[in-house]
Amino acid sequence: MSDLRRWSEEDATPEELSLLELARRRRAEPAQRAAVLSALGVGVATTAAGAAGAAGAVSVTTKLAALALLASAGVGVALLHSRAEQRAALPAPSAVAVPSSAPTPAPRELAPAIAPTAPALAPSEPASDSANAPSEAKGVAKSKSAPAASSSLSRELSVLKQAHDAIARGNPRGALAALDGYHARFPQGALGAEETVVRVQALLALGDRARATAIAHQFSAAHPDSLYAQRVERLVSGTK
Amino acid sequence: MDSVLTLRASERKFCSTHRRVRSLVDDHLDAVVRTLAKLGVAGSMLDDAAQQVFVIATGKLETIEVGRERPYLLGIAVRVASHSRRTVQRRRESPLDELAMPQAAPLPDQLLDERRAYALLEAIVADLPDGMREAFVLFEIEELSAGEVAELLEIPVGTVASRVRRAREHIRQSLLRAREP
Repeated sequence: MSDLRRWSEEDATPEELSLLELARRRRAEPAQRAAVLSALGVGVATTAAGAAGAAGAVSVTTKLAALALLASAGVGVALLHSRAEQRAALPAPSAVAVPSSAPTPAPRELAPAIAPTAPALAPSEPASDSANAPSEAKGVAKSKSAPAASSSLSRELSVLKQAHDAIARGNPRGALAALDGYHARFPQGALGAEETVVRVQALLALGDRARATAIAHQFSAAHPDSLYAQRVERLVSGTK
Repeated sequence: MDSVLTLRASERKFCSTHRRVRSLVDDHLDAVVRTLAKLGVAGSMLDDAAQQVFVIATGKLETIEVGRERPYLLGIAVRVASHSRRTVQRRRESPLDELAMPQAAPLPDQLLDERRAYALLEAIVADLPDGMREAFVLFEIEELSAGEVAELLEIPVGTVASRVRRAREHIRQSLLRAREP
């Protein structure tokens, strides 16, 4: 009596067994499968980066998931603050991959937008790889020959990260140059909204509030529903 | 920062991560969707919840032991479903009452009408009290071991056994009631 066996091995009636069988036969619908794969960025295209980069209208969820993949691959960067992130965080409020080095304190108004906080779904152990490949350093940041797989989104991220770091180092002009490069290389980039946020921050850091405001207004007019619209408006209004 | 500078090494890992995520979905989406549905997540919430389960799992990939993916995913599914139930006010009335079984046609012994049988099953499982439902779905439908169920529900194995047995009894009574004219 104490050891639990399956109902079928105990006293289930034929009717109960048929119901159980029926329950076990249920399969996910193809649309559900496609939606999950797409949310994870492993769907349509062969890579997350391809999937995210290919579509102009990549959802925040998709981008977030792609970033989560990157994060779990050791690129501990997350530029996003989103509802999806909060939703995803609920059952597993876990360790975040906060780059411990963070050498340069970001300017005050930068911190909330691009806090070096990986989404809560980042793995608890950030990349062991990062420790043992310092020699690749310079080459990679400039490399154009990264493998096709995953390279597009990774490179987009890398450019945005460069720009962010430049601002943090007090070099907003460098940041803007990097962002101009981003536009040229990724006209259909999946992280266009993130690019706008960083650009607005760079302009503010440069003291060009007029242009920052113009870009912020233009962005929030074009994407009134975007989470970033509020963000950039707050930035230019000085209320964070 | 070093995270940017080691992109290439990271990308290699990215690819294997990508493969593992893909096979998680391929191998376990059916079970995840089944479990969520049985635990009361319905309609468009179901799609969202399924995505959520895999997004969460993807973030914790390195902590998932090879060969233990299914219990792990179903554990997340249980928590996501529970959150989803708290978010959406559950229907107060018993789903069995809504089923409106035609009285002239008692349930056929061989369950010829699968669709109706399925609706009946959903209603009966939905009617189980919380706690019993999770234990029953994971043990009898997803066929996890009692130990796995205990671990992921964080209850003793003995409690799993008693909940599953009570759930069976509950279901048996529901079936009898569904037969009554």
